[in-house]
Amino acid sequence: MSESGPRLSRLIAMVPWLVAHDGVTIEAAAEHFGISVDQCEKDLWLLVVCGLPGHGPDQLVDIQFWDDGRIHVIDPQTLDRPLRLSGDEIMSLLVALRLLLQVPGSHDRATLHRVIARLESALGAPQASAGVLVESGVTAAVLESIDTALAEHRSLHIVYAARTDDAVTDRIVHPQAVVTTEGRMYLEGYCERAEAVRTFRIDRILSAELGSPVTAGKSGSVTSVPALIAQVRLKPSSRWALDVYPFSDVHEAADGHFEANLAYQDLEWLTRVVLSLAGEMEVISSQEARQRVADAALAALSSYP
Amino acid sequence: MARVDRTERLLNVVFCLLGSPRPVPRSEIRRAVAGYSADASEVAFERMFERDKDALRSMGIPVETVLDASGDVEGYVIRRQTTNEELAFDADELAVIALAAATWQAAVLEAPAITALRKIESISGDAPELREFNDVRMTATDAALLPLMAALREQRVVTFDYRGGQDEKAASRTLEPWGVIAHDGQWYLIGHDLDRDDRRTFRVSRIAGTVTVTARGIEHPRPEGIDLAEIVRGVDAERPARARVLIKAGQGAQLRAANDHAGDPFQEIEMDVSAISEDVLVSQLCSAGAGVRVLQPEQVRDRVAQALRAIAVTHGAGSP
Repeated sequence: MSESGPRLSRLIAMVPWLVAHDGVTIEAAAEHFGISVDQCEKDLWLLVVCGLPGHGPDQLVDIQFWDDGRIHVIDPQTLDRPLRLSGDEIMSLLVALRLLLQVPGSHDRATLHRVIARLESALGAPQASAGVLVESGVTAAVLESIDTALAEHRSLHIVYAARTDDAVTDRIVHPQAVVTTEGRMYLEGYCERAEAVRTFRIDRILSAELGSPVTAGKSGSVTSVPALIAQVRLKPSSRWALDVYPFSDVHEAADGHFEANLAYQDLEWLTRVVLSLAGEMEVISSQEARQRVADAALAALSSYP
Repeated sequence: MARVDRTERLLNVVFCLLGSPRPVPRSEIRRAVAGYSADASEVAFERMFERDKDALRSMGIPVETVLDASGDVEGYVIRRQTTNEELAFDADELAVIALAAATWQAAVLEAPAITALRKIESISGDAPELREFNDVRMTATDAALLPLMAALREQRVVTFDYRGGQDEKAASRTLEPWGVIAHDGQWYLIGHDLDRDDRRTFRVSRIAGTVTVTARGIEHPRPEGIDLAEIVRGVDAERPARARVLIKAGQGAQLRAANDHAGDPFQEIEMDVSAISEDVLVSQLCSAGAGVRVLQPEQVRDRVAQALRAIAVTHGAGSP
């Protein structure tokens, strides 16, 4: 089932689509269905041996595609129009549409709501459609401000709660784009405070107020910082952390400790991770990182004479 | 005839039943469909056909069983769409559907989203080219999502092996599913755990192996008024560990956020913070570093100070 399922659904959807796109090239058809040209040809060969009971010559699906690389459906049999949308198909669209609702940008939210409502009713299973959700943690007010700032090329005054240094900051940003990575949303833009392009996690923007129109010229791309590596030792009781942070080359030492490399881009971030592990992890190198952690711990200790 | 593979046989069943003017009896299906070998026993054919029928239905192909006047099975049919209405969308709607399908790049839900879009295009015309104003991508590498979604539609109990953490062995769980929620780069599954007889939240990525959708219907549906999104955000979780703290101006961003602090973040503030356990609370308070001072209780304050002292010492800061 797991192997024939997606292929069968595709084969059945392919015939009516090809009918509606007479003369399409095999390459274009393959691209539209997200498969290789080779797979597309295999699909077409399979379709032409299938058909109505009896398998007489006029009872088979008739597709020509070997002359000039273009596909012509001569006889689609009963597959001249698509079947209804399946539950999987509706739900995969619903989840993505609900994500789009929460993504700032110029797409039309009224249309999104309309399509979502139609698909929900087509699914006919209210418990199920209410059970596939996307929770981005972005407030409606922030979303609306970013929408407008992008559409009208205006700056934004944001209050941002950074994870790296755990500080709240005030910034004027000229938004350029919204990107998602690993399921998280980021606003990319020129930051006046940093005097460079920065990315901000949208769910950490506490508030966003519209500012003045932005003149072009202060754009640019994010300078990517290569990841640095810290060598660390983790106590056995904090094994769970291996799941949470970007560790690599994990070895279990004779005393049960884990020795590993931890990737980081910002010493502030690394310091926060070490502090949050409350003594369960030690940075072995670099010396600079060790010093930074020691300084941060001492600074915090000054509250407890 | 050469050996017929399963996909081909299933496709033949579809052609046999799709749009048939009358229900097709089993005997005719057996004769007509290449792939039901003539020399197989009646029992073997029956078993094969039952499985194929279930497979088609699980793919969303509506194989209908038609009963005769006396209640016996007369035959089977897949009805064709009589109208195109369900798949007819206007240009604006097509554009957002295409954008939605594109978010699933290389994810487990991509195939059904693409097939859906192509079905719609067969009726509504081609979707416009996507404008690349956003680089929006959904993450879903978890194969478990599809059976979970099927279970939600059919309101069925699921079973799966789950590993609570990296150090734990996978253990079998039986759940009445309420929903799957994407949050913070993860997929979460929430439902009524039948072994614990209580609500539980699972990370879909920690499900080991396959999810089995059982034949058993659910008896504890999602209670009215429960907000699944709030559950994954941990908003309503019990947080018995508490402390009174002083947070400096512009500092303690995570603590403020985790405790729903709505005030001015640029003001110093004395406030109560809470967490699901004292360990977690101590971790959060250590992480806030010099931005926070624990006032009480003494036990939490001592634990934080002790942990900070240990960190300072192991990282070479003499003896503070």
